[in-house]
Amino acid sequence: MTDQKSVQFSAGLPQAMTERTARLKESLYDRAFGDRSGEWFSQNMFADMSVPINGEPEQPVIIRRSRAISEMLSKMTSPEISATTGSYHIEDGELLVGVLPMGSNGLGKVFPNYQTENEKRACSITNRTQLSLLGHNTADYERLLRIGLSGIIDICHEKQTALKKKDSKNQKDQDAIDFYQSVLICCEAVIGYAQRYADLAENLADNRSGTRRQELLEIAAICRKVPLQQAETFHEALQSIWTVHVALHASLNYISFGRLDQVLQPYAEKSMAEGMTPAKMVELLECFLIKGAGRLNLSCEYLMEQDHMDYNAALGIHPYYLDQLGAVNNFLQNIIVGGKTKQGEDATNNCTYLILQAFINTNLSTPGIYVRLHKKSPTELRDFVAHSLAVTGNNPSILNDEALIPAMYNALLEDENPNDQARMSELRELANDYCVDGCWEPILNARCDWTFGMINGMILLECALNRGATLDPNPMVLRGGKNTPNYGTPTNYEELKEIMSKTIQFSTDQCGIGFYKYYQLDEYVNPSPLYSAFLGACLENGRDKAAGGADYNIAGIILGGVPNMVNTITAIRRWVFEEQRYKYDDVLNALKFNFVSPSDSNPKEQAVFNGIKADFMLESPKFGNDDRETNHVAADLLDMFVAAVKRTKEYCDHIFLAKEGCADSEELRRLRTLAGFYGPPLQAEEGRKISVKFTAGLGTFEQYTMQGSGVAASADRDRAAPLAPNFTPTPGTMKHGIGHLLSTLGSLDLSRFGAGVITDTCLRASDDNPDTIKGIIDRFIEEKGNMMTMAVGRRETYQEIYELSVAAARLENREAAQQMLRPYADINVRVGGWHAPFITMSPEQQKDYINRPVQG
Amino acid sequence: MREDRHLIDRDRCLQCGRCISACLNSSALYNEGCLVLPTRRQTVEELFAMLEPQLRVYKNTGGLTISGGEALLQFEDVGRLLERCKEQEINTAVETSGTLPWENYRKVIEITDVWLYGLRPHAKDQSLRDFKRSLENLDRMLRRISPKKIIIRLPIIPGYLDRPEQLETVSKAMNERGLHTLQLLPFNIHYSHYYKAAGLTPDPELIRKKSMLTTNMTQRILTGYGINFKWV
Repeated sequence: MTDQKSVQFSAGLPQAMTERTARLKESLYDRAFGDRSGEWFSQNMFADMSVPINGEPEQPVIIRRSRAISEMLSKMTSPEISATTGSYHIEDGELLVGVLPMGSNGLGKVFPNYQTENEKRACSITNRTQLSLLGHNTADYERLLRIGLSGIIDICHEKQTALKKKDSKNQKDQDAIDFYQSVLICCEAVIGYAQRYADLAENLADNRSGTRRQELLEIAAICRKVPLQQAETFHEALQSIWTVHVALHASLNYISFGRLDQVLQPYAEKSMAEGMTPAKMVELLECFLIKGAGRLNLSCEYLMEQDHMDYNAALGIHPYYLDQLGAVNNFLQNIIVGGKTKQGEDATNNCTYLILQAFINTNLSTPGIYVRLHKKSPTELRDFVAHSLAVTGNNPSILNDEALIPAMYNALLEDENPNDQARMSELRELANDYCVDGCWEPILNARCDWTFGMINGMILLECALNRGATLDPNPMVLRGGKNTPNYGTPTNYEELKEIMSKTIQFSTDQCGIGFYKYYQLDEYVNPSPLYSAFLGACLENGRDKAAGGADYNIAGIILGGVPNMVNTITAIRRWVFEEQRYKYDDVLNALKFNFVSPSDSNPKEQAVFNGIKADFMLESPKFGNDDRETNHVAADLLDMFVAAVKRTKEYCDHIFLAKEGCADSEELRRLRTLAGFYGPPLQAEEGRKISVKFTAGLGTFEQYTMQGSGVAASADRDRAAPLAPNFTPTPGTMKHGIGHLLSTLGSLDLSRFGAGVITDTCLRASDDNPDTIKGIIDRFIEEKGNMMTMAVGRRETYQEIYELSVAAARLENREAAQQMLRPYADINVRVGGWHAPFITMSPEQQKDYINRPVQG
Repeated sequence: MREDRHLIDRDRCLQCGRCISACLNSSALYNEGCLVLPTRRQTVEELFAMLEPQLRVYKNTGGLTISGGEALLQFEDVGRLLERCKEQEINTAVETSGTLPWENYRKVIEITDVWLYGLRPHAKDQSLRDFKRSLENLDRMLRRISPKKIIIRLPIIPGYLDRPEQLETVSKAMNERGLHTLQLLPFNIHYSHYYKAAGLTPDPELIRKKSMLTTNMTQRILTGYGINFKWV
C-alpha cells in the first residue's frame, strides 16, 4: 500500500465507538466492577475424565485431555451451568458470540480433571500439574480460516487410516494414532460448541424482530458455518478465530492472536468488495476486542473469592515469583500488526489501520496490541501509531523489526548449515514472520513451541560480590543465603567481571538443563491436542507439541534487574576499585543493612554508610542517561550473558542430543543422569528431532516488585524495593529525557536478543503531542532498540489514584469505593508483560509508577 | 549540616559544589535535590554531548532554541554549538534582544535557522538607545537573510510593555521592514524582573486585572496595523 492510499484509508475511519459497542463496553465495565466470583466454574460441574470408560483400560493421557476439553466446552454451553457462569449467553447487541470462562494468569484456571491419582503423586516431585500449561504462543489462524476444522479433520482421518493400514506395533505409530484421535475429539467438541451457539442465536431470534432478529439469524448462520468450514467473509473470519480462541483459553491454553492484520486482510478485501464499509469492520473489531476483555476485573474488592490459583498451576519450569494481584487481568492475548511479510516486504495493509482504530476507540487494557515497525514502514503508519499513543496514552507497543528479525534469524542459525541456501531462505522467511506471544516474548509465528526461564540478576550480583551468598541480614545464615558456588572475592573490576561471568553461567546452565528436561515431562502431563492442530507441523508429524511435534522449539533465558546491576557495579567500580573511597566490606555491609548500621552505638560506621549511600545513590551515574561509564558496564554485562547462554546451549546439546556419527558414551549418560534426565539422547529415537534453540532476553515481566522484595539495597533503590521494571531505568533515575535512554539502547547491540529486550517508557503528559512521540519512535527504530512500550501520564494523576485506591481499600462500603475509582477505569499502564488498568494494580505497583513520567 | 538543616554562609560560598555531594538529598552529578548550583561550566563538546540524544528525538519536528539571558554574549561558544547542530542537520533558533554589537550576530547568522527577535520599545535613555540598536541589527540581518527567518517577539507586561505608543512603534518598525509576524508572550511570573527594574513591586492581582483590560486593546492596535500576531 502506498502512503497516499493509507492516508485516505486511515483518515476515513470512525473516531469513536458506535452506540452498540459503547453499550457493550459499559455493560462489561458494570460486570467488571462487580463481584465475579459466582461466574467461575467449579470441579463439581464436571465429570472426572481420569476415570476409565465402562471398565476399559486406562486411556492415554492425550485422549483423556481431549475428552476433558470436550467436557469443558460442553459444560460451558449447558443452560443450567450458565445460569451462574454466564458462559452460554449472547448479550444484546453482540455480533460475535462465545464467552471466555473466568480465569487469568493471576487468578488461576478451572478445568475438568484428567490426571489419575498415581500421576498426580508422581508429579509431586516436578513443577508440573495438569494446570501448568504455559500458553505464551500463537495459533495458525491462517490455516483455520483457509481449511476450517473440517480440513483438519480430513487430515487426521487420512493420517490415521494410513497408520492403521501399516498395522504397526511401533509405539511411535500408536502415539500418532492417539494424537490424531485426540485432535478429532477436540475438533468435534469445538464444532459442537459453535452449533450450540447457533441454536441459542436462533432461539433468541424467535423472540425478536427487526434488525436484531436479522443480526441473530446471521450470527446463527455464521456459527453453523465456522469454524467447521473455511471462512469467506470478514465477519466469518472473526467469528471463526473467536470460537477457537475461546476453546483454547477454556482448555487452559492461553494462546495469543498473532498477526491478525495479515490473517484477516484477504477476508476484509472480499467483504469490502461486497459492500461492507470500513466503519462496519471497525465495529466488528470493537466487538471482538470487547469480547477479548470479557474476563476483566476492575475492582480489587472481590479478588480473594476468585483466587483459583493452584499448586504449580502458573508457569512452572523455573522458580516464578508470581504477583497474582498484578496478573489479575493478564490473559496472554495480543494482536500484532504491521511489520514485514515473510518475503521481507512491508506488510502494512488496511487491516493494520482497522485494528489500530478499533483499539483506539475501545481503549481496553486487554487484548494487547503491538505494532511491528521497520525503517521502511510507511510514514502514515508511524503517524497513526503516534496519534494512537497520544490519544490512548498506552497503545500500541512497538516491536523493532530492525533488531528482532536479525535476532530471530541468528537464533535459528544454530545447528544449521550456512551453505544450504534454500534452508537459509526458509529461515529468513520464518524470522521475517516473527511475532510476540500474549506477553512480550518473540516467537516464530505459529511455528515454534516456546518456553522460558527467568533469572533474577540482582541475586546473582549479590552472590558474585559475596562469595556465592546473598546479602541477607538474617544472622542465622551468617554470611548470607548460599545461592551459587563461591567464585572468590573481587579486588578490581576485571576480577568482578570474571566472577560475575561464572555466576551467570551457573544460572543459565540451570535454565538450559531445565529446558531439555521439560520435554521429557510435558508429554505425560500437559499434551495440547487442540492447540497442536494449529501449531507448525504437529499435524503433519503426528505428534503433540508437548512431544516435540512442532518444527521448532525455542527456549528463552531472561535476565531481570539489569539496570540495577549496572548502577550498582558502576558505583562499586568507581568508589571502591578506582577512587578507593570506601572499603569493599563496608560497601557490602551498607547494602546488606540498607545503609543503616545495625549497631546503635557505632556512629562511625553509620557515617561511612551515609557516605556510601550519598555517593552510590546520588553521585554515581545511572543507567539510561547515555553515560559512558554505565553504558560500558551494561555492555560488559550483556556480553557476559549472551556468551553464557551460548555456552549453556553448547553444553546442553552435548549431553542431551545425539550427535550424528557419534555414539552415546558412558560419560554422556552419566552427565544426563546427573542432570536429572534418565533417557537416551533426545534425538536418538526415530523421528524425534527435538533441538531447542536458545535465545537470550532482558526483562522482569510484572515481577519486578516481588523480585525486589528479597534483594539487598543497591545503588538505585532501598532494600526490598522493586527492581527496575523490564529493561527500563529504575524509576526516578532518568535525568535527561527519553532521547538519552534511546542512545543508551543504541549502544548495546540489542539485535542479539531473540528472547526480547523490552523497555517501558513513560512520557509525561505535557509532551504527549504526536510529533514528539513520532520522534521517539523514529529514533527507537534507528537506534535498533528491541521492544518499547509507552505510557503517557502525569505524576499527579498516578499519585491521586494511588491515594484514592488506598482510601477505597479502607471503605466498608464497596459500592462507594468503586464509585471513587470508576472515573479512572480507562487509564491503563504497562505492568511488565501486559497492560493493566491502573486502578487494579497493587499499591506497590501504583507507587512504582508515580516517579516514572519523564520528558520526551 | 547541623541539626538536620543546611547552614550556608553565602558570603563564603565558592560555588565548589562540595556541600551538594555531602548532602544525602542532593546530587552534584545531576545538579538536583535540596542544594543545586545555578549555573555550570561546560565545554561546548560536553554540552553538545549532553543535548544530542534529545535533539535527535526532535530532529524532524523541532530543534535547539538557545535563549537567555542574552546567549550571544558568549557568541563564539554559541557559534560552535550551533555548528555542531548543523553538522547533524538539527534545526536551530536563537533568541535575542538584538542589542549586542553586530559582530556577535554576524558570526552566527549563517548557522541560525530562526531568530526569535525581541523588540522592547521604550521611550527613555538607555532603553531607547537599545531599541535603536535592535533595529539597526535587524536591518543588517535583513540584508543577509530572508524575513521568514525572523520572528519578532514582544512580551506583554501589563502596564509596562503594552502601552498603545509602544505597540504602535513596534508595528510601524515591522511594517517598514516587511515583517508581519509577531509573537506575543503573555505575562508570566518570570517577567516580574521588568517591574523590579522599573522600581515597581509586581502585584499579581493587579497584573491579572490589567492584563484582561489590555489584551483587547493590544489586539485592536496590532490588527489595525495589519500585523499577524499570535500568543505563544
